[in-house]
Amino acid sequence: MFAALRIITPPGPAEALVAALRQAADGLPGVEGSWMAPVLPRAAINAGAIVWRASFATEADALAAPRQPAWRARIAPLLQDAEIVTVGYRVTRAGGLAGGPGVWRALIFRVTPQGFPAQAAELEAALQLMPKYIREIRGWALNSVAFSEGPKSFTHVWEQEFARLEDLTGAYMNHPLHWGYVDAWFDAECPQYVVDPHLLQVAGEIDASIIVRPPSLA
Amino acid sequence: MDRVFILDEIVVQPGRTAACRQAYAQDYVPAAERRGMRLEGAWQSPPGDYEELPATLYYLWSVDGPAAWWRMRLSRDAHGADERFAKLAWWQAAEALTLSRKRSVLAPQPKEP
Repeated sequence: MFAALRIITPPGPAEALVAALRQAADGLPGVEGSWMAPVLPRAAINAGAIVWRASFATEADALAAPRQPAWRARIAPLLQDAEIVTVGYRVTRAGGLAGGPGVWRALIFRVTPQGFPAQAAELEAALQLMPKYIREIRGWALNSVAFSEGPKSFTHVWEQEFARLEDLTGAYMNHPLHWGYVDAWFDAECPQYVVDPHLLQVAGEIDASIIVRPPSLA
Repeated sequence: MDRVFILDEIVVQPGRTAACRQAYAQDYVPAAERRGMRLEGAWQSPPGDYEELPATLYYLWSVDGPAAWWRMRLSRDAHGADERFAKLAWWQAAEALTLSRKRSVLAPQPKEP
């Protein structure tokens, strides 16, 4: 599955645009799944007002989608004056359980060039420990960015799902594995520091898991 | 939650031990204390300053739990600017005196059953 995540900052009210975009995105050719929501302000860092996560079968489909007639007719006019940050990534690393309503969160960041390959690999291993020890993480995905549009060439998308926002702002932030180990790669005071300081955190409410697919009943 | 401890281990180039100690005391310590860090103790090895030998400076800090940790990590200066760039600049300047360094976050060992 290939995902294209768009963080949208419209010039006008976000709620009205979310409703219009949801309707316009329904049935778009090539789009296998689509979720969008207003960004939760409490968990926003450098984030816009709307987050849209669309899934495709392939990267080629994701890249081709904005050039399709239906997109040009229905989506492009709605986004004409908006600032948009887009990251496209193949979802190869994901886990956890599909759940019901909750909160989805993504941290989009850039490992600086000197951090590849060794420190990037260390950071990825550290992040993947978190779902095991922080049980409030219901589902997760950690993937490398294939294409990025916007002011920063991001390299990673780290997604989690929680039952409640407080699980992100509380249990996740306060777990010792987070501040006592993983944070070192993000901390300018640690020798392991390799994450560009301009990162993006975005969260939105979900009705059901968008990272983890429930087991097939077939 | 108990205090969170932070241990800096700085390996200093031969003959530069006193200069590194002074820079840390004059420049780093006041800023760290403003960010809510408490200096619990400072040590060095080997004992004494020797021109021919590198030395390791140890600084043990603490903050008042995870919330204080994040306040320290995400601190802003008097003008509201993110302090991370100033912190990075300090450590990069210190590289002129050092060979390597390590920062570890420590917690009391759990009580065995």
